[in-house]
Amino acid sequence: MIFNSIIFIFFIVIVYSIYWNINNFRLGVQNFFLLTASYVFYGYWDYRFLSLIFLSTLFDFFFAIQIQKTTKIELKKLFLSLSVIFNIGVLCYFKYMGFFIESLKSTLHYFGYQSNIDFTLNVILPVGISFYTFQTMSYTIDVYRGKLKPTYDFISFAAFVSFFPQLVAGPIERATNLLPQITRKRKFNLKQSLEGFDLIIWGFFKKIVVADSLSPIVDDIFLNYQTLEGFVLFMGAIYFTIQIYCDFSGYSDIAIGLAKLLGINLMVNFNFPYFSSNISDFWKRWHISLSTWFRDYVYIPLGGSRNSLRKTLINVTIVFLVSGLWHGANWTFIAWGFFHSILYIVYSLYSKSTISIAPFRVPSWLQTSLLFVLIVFSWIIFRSENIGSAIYFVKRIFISFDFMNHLNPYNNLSSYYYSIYVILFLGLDFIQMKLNSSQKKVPQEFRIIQNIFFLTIIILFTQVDAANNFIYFQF
Amino acid sequence: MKSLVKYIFSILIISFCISEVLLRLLGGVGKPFEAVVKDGFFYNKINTDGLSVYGTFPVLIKKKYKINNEGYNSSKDYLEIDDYSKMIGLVGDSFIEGYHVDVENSIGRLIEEKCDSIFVEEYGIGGHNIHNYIESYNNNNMHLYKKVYFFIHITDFLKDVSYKSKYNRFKEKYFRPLYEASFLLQFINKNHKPFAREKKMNKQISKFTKSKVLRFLEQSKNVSFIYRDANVSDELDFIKEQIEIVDHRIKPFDYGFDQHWNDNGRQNIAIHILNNLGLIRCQNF
Repeated sequence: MIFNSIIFIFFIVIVYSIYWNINNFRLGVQNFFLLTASYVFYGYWDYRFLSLIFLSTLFDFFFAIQIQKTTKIELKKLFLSLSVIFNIGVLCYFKYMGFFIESLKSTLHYFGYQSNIDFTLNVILPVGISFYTFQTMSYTIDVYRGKLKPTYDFISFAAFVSFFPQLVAGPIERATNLLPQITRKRKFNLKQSLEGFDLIIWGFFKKIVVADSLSPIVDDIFLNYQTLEGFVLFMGAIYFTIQIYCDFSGYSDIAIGLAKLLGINLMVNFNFPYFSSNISDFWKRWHISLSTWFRDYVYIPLGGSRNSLRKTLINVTIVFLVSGLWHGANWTFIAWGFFHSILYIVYSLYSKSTISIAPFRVPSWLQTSLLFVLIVFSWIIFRSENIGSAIYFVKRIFISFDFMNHLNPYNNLSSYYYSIYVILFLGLDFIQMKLNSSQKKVPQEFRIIQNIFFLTIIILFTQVDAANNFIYFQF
Repeated sequence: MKSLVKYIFSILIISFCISEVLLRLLGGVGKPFEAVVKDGFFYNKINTDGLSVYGTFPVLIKKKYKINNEGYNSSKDYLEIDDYSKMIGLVGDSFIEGYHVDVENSIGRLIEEKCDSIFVEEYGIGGHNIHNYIESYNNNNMHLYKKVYFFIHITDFLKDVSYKSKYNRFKEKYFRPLYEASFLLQFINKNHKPFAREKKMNKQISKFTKSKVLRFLEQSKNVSFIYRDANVSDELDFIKEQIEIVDHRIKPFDYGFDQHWNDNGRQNIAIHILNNLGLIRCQNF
């Protein structure tokens, strides 16, 4: 089930009504209902993969208890390893097996060996697998580290793993934040619910009005990049930059908003990343739940920045490469991660050095703009079919730079027409950022007008035919 | 919680009202097709016209339609025929009905525009199948025409009875007045099909339909079948000889939401028919 479908509206109305009406019963009843609703939500897409979530839940529930129970450090390590191996194993099997085999074949072929590997894996990638495996893994790791006591309430734990608002595309919640909220009784809070409603509307606006409107022109430009002129390609890359942000952050906003309606606070996943002034700042604002996950469970265990500069830079590179690979089984994602690691390393070295390239202080708007352009180029790698296409795409931007117009064949609209969405969205996002950072309380009347405005636009802009899926579902 | 529900409802109602006003001001919807009921079934109301609108902002399709004296979408009325030897018939479903192009740019008009020595009549209704096509052929004396083209697809052969749009009293009595009064409802209906899930269809053609079609073809020598897609389904092997594949020399693209072509698809069909008739050197071509 996807958020931007009519069936989901029915689903949430029913779930919401029952959820708060059984609030007076035992907590277990409400959590059991939450679990059932989450399984229905996921099973609507493909019920067969519910067994995978269930297994992941069961194993980590069991391993965490064993880690807590045993006093022997070797056994603790063993149970933790089993949990990590299980989760990573499931992820590798469903997501990376084909990629690994293909890469192995190519490598053997490169070195002149004729591989006899004739094994292809035709499995569907279960939606949200990268999200919930990371979530459950963080639980056992936190229990192992003594940050968290394991729960003995299986229903609550299963509800935590499969909590439907964030099950398929995050935010990747930490057990330390979400689990305590599930294991204690929720109280209806009007302020929290209103905040949730605001976020849902804003999320839908980003997804339906901006991301889905940009989708056809992005698809067209990235499909026909070999024949298009440089400026159109650059515009296409900007459109994708906005599309992926609106698509993913839109989903996160809806998820956080829905959770708030159910009396649960999820972590913030995006904090206006395109207004960052440097790459380090960007990664503190983009997909926060994933970047902090990698920080806590990969970067710090590797040694973080406690060792030599060389080791720190290696650690940074590893984290970015793994982060790239997390997005999908393709070299483009790894290259995207590598590109970001270069940016990050260059920035880290520059910020620590006393050398200044510019003879004057670079204004923050210029820093933000420069970073934005670099991010745009990184998304070209991310969106391209393969690294060769990405290189050719970038090359064409420079060697074939021309302002020639291009019409989107699906609706005969000029490719420049879509810049309206970019300008409008960045303007609105900037206002939202200022409002969020402002200490002043936003008047209720303003919020009402804002919601009416966004909702009206959503009604009028909702895409033709069936709803578009969220991009991050594929990860 | 009551105040939250009240708040959400108020926001929704106000937004819907504003959308309705905006749509009225901006003309984001067309005029719904008028229909008449006959023997419990729906038919296009004759001699009506309007605009067919699809798409959000920006609107993707805004095309003129005209229901003629026979109930078909055509810019010309079908009057008594003097010379059948100049008559070409096009029979099909929504592709021939063609609400996705201006009625003046239908396949028939394109052919006539290129060659004024022939007259084309189009008999297309959305949802019609091979049984409807045969009925149209028989009811309109098309055996006398110079040539008749059935515009087919595998899906036209999967049912054993002709398609008829049933009259739904509840829908028509209560919903239609509301629908016609509200631009917003029309807008939503035209632009959203969130429940549209792929229907599991029987993909085999029954013996009954096969023999009916073969019998018909045996008796109707002036009929040719034109297939919509480039690849003909294997199920249609029994009429392989009669099927003509269109050379889609100009890429026909659809708008994604219903697979209907734009003008390019119709150009291709028009050229194909002119070729087939040996009229490619027709003076206006």
